[in-house]
Amino acid sequence: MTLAAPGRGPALGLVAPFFLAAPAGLLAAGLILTFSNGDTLLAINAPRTVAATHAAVIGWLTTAIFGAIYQLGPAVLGGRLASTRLVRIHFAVHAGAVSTFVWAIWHWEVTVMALAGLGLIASFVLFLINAVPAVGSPWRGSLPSRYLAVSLGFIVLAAGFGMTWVGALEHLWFPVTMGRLSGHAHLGLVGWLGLTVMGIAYQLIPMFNVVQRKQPVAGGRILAFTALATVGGALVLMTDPGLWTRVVVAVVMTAGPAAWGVEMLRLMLARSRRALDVQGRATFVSLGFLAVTICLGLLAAIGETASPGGEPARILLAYGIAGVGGWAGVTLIGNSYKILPFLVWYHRYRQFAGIRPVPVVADIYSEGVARATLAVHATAVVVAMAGALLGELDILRTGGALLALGAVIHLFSLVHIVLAPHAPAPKRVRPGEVIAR
Amino acid sequence: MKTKDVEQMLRRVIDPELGIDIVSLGLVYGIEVDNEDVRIAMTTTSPQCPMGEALVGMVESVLEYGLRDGTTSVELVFDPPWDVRMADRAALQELGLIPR
Repeated sequence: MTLAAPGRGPALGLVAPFFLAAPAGLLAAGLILTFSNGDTLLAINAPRTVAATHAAVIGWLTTAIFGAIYQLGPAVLGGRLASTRLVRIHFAVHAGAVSTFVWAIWHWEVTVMALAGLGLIASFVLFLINAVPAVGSPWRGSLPSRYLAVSLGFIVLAAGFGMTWVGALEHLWFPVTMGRLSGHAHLGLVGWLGLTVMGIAYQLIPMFNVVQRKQPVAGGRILAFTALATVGGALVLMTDPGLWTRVVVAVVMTAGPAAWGVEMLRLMLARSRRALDVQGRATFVSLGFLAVTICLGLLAAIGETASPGGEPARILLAYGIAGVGGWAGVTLIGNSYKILPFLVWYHRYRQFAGIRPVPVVADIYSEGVARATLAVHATAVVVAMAGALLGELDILRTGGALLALGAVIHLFSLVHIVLAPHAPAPKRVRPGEVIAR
Repeated sequence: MKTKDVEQMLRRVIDPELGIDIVSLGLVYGIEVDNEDVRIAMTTTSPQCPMGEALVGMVESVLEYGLRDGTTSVELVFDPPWDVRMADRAALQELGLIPR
């Protein structure tokens, strides 16, 4: 049971920068929340909130997903990269554009926001040139391939509407209402992030946890329903609909992820690898956050009457923290401690496997540090959500500081995985054998 | 060269994700030794496991390193499909399926 056939995949040096740079986005989001002001609890479109959201979504999660797709596409899904040189250019363009974009939102410099937004569009175009042949068709291929192919369409939609809204802010074409922001956000969060998380899980959860007794039964239907519900729901939200329409949209949009969550829980409970490692633990925690996200999303759709203190911004903020930091974020942290160590194993130790004792994947990362990262991050998400729901700025800021702390631990542990020498666990070494390092 | 010797060699091929050797996992379906020539039939934990070719390469490396003469051939088969019950007691303990 292994992760990939990296012989067909890209070099470690091509993929690792995406994983190593990604926690900087989480660090930025955590620091922005740490220094948030009273506006954060009053308006979901306050500059600091929007900056933190984009730092987390396109700085942290999207950067890591880029790396994962560049690896999984050629190595697992049978696709190919158009150009490895383009991947390097893409990394530089994306890193520059995201950091400038987040800075511009923080300072509400609309012109800089528009210019950095163009850089982001360039980043997404460069990504799609490589990702489309790497992932394959939305109509054929394995379940993960189809999910990823559909999610690529959503990155185009989310970025297209996002840039249009930035243009509207600069040139005053039309008002950027809460409904329009919400439509853009859901295209990105459910369409791009959600479908990517869901699709990758169909590949990784059965592999890592040795699931044989159960098979996914509704993956294709969940994909079709979620994709259609997200497009339709986002377009309806952009019209700033009334209460009952919002509630119906929320129910329809959450049905797909909820069904996927049940399917993943079913698979996890049927796993043959009973001893849980960090990825297994992260899967259970992230499914818990998915349930919380769905509940908060339904309450957020009701609006003022269901919001603590009658402030919709508070429940919307908690909803975003649960979905981005909890569901998607915890999943990503868990998978990072599998994908990156495996790449290191393959590129550094595989050639010696069987001839000399080499470390296995579990020897390349510290399970203790990985669990600590997961625990700090999950606690941070809960504290930040509590701060938002209670309307307590100090608690929200504490949650932000914990998010930043988790990001630093995560970053250093990933750097250690890539750079440090590793040794096999003593039980795998026979007396007198020469160890490959 | 005896079948048992080849089996011992194959115990050095460790699944990098599970940390368990392929013999203990029950992934080796057959070992045929004809003088110095060795034929292996093996599987992966699922037909979709994309590491099949790489595992075959690891087995070939181990055999080439361990056998001085003769030829080796490694065939990947999926009938019967691997089942966790094919793993030995130590592997099941490592997976957490039975107590240590």
